[in-house]
Amino acid sequence: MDERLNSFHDLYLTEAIGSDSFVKLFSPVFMEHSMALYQPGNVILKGLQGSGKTMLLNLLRPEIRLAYYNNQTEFPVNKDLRKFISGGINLRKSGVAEFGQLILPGSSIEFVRELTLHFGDFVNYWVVQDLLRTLTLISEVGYKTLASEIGINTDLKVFDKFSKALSRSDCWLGGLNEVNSFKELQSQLNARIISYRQYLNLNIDQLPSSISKSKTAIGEPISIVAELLKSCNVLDDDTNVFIRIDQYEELPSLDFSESDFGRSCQELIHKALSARSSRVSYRIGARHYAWPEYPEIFATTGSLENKRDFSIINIDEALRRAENRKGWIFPALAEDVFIRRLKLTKYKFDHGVSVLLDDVLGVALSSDQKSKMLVASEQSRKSVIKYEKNWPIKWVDFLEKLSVEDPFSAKLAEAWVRQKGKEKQEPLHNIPEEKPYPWDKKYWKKERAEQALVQLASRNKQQLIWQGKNDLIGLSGGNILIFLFLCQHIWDAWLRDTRDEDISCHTLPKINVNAQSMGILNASEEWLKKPVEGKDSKRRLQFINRVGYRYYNILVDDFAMSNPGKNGFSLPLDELEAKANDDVRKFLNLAVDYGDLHESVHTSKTKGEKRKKYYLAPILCPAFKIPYKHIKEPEYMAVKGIREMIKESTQNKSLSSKKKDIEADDLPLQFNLFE
Amino acid sequence: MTSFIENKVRQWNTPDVRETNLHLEYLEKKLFRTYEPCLSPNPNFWTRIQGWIENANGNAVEEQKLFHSIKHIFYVGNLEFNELYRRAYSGPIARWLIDQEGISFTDENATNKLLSAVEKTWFCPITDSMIINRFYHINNIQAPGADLRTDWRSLLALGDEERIRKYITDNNINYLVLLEDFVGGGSQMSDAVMFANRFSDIVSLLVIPLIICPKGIITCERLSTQTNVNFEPVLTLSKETFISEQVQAEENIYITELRDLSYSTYSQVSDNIEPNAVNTDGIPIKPYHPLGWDNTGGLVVMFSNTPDNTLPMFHFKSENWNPIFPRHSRN
Repeated sequence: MDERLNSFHDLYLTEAIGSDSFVKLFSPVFMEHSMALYQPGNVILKGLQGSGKTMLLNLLRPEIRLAYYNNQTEFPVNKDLRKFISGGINLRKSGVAEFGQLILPGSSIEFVRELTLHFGDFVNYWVVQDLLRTLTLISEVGYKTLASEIGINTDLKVFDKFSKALSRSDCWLGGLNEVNSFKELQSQLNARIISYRQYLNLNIDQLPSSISKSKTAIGEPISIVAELLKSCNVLDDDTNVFIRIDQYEELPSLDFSESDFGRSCQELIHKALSARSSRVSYRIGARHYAWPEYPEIFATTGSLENKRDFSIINIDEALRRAENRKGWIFPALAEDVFIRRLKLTKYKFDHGVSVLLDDVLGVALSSDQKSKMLVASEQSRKSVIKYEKNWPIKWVDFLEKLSVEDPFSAKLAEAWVRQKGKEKQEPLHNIPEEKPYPWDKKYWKKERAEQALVQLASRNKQQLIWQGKNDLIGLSGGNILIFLFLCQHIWDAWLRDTRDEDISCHTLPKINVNAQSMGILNASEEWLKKPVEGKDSKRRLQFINRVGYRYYNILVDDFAMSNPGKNGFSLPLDELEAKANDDVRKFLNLAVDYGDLHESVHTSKTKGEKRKKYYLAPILCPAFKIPYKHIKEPEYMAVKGIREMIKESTQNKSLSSKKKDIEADDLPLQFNLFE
Repeated sequence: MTSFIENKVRQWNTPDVRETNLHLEYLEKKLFRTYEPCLSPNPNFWTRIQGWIENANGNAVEEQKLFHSIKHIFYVGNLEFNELYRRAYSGPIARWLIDQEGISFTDENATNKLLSAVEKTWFCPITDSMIINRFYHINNIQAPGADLRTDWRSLLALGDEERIRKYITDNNINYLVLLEDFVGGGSQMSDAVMFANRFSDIVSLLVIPLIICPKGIITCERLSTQTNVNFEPVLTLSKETFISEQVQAEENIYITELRDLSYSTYSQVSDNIEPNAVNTDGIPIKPYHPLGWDNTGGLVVMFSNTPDNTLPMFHFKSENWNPIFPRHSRN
């Protein structure tokens, strides 16, 4: 029998797969929210790690366009927006990081400045070469229909005419010799890039003077290319030219040796955008923490303006659930991604696509069902209630009996009597005798269901139960990487749980509650270790732990369930934005940018007051045994209180930082003596 | 159906337990499933772990100690042994042959000279646990002459010294390299090495323990003063990774916990046989001691078998004890 596989084993599959598999895996569900990518104007595509930035940008690449064409699959962009070509640079894969190799602790300001200009020149040549590659690919024999749809004239004579005109352009500042053919042009561009690579890898001592004396201005040759492609009739006038710059977050990491080199490179990219060229539009893929609040322009005092110089597509914001579930597209995206992953592996299924998650995970359990699983034995049920000495014996008897029959109802009853009994004595002496009991009222019960389960689990030293499609989607927090991460761990737990069973590798699993719950818990605990990556990581991890334990304790100790929404905190906006509180605001922003916390506007219970509320990322909640759902009011806090929490958490010495693992690459190379 | 261990992990319900579970899942896939004494149709690791946990007779604290203890085993799989074969050949053996032949670092013909020295070398195992054929295959050793690869423990018992001498001479053997996969205290190796030393007038001798314990090092040092044999271990296990009888200053907490566990379970492991008990002939009775043979306190398990100086709780099968890596014993 074939070994059963985990369909979610490779989380970043879409970055590694070929174009044909991309067509099968790409989910078009998000497309309607990303239409700005296919229209003129600069766009910053912001998102957390794994949110799908690269996947969306890849849709602009010619290889992907051809793959859809070859697979006879409808290209998932509106028909009237399909007239575009694109070229681009992936700042990680193109070797831009190698510029950093040239900066040494003693490097002069002049050297770093010149190197920054070379970075701009390198980007120009790389992008122009990539644009020409796009034209080459799509103008190949066999793609005439596609070329026509895009608006590309495939006549090679026109290509040569364009090449000659481009090589004569002043934008190169003498960097290109005049050419007569498209191939010659590509060859010259390529030669310059190779020279750069040789220099960056320290294979030559300095760049040839022909290069160092002909540095181009960032964006200018790209713009000229777009203009000439149209004036030479290579492209139709209404064909858009998009320039992709992916992995923008690589640039800040080049800020070492106190050089500010990375920041200067960012500013150069901003300069390209500031030209507001009607000929080309830039698409920049960046993580939240990397795109600056005020994107300054290189060697000027100005900065880019949102909505004028660029627009932002915030993938996370678009995919996270708002107060109202209506219009939330993430569930459909997750289901679609789930189906595509399963289809790519060996599982066989042929039923409707909208119910597959339910099929695999089963129907969601009610709070009542979960409570009976948490406290299964009669003995354990007897201990779910914390009785008070002053309670009449009748109430104690009633609760004891109810807790055995229905522990969930008993827990709610305990909270109810604590709340009502505090206000007046009457409820203590009048036990409700008939169902529905007062604590069964729809909203009273709904608001306290999660807290009741937290308390039941705590009393019985159990983990909370996480199960079903809603929990999986809710815990993903609108992030498709987290969704896949959870699926991966659920699948692993199921494989472990059924390792002795004879189950076909083709049969779609029915994953039981225990395996789902364990998988989710494993995923949460592993995700909790992730914030150790990135800026200020240690403090962020300590703060997350502090927040998680704080709300677990609050929810468990609040027997009256008077504050069931306290699994997050809210801060007044005016206080948060005060200059004196910059430290806290920046820290919280960082935690939000790295996805540790989720932030949203909070409608205050005080009329007119503006607040922001913060919750732990849902994926972290199982590790702290707190609910991920946001019910009722979060904890109202002052900035001072958060500052105190940050301070206290960093004083917790038990949270040690991770040691750097020794990588195999660090080991010295040993040659074989027998060769 | 839910697997036994998954149920237990849920019941024990701590982050440490869950982490160990994922750790063991990984180790089982990469290593533990290669344990030869338990290959199919014998019970697999996940079946054995049930018996292992049930040794605690339902005591949840003991169950968890047994569960966590497995991750401290130093399991050497077959791929790791392949690497040890390669390291032995390209490291100590190559250096020794270079020295023996006086090959210069700057000699342009050095490789050919080295390969020529290999052709004059007889690679043999000390005991039958060393799979010499694999050593030849992994290193692609061409040794056209000496194609008998008998272990020297057997030669000592059954061999004829004169015929061995003749074989060495007839096959133009200048170098004899003896290899052993695992050397604990070195007692099993000593007699065979002393026997090989009788031929030191016609061959140069090198002994390569692939893995060696600290007590084995002492034996090798003693033998090297008594013979013309050179010793070059590939992987020397440090003293700190063994469990000593006495608590050491600043010892790792896992060592302390494993010592406690091996002593507290010993009467159950041994079916109530006292530590260091001997039979009427004065021969020690297995499993010898809570810390194993010669009170070594080892944590090594190899894919081919478990040494008897590893903690007996891990490998000794008795009426009252189910080990996690049952040892295949010669007797």
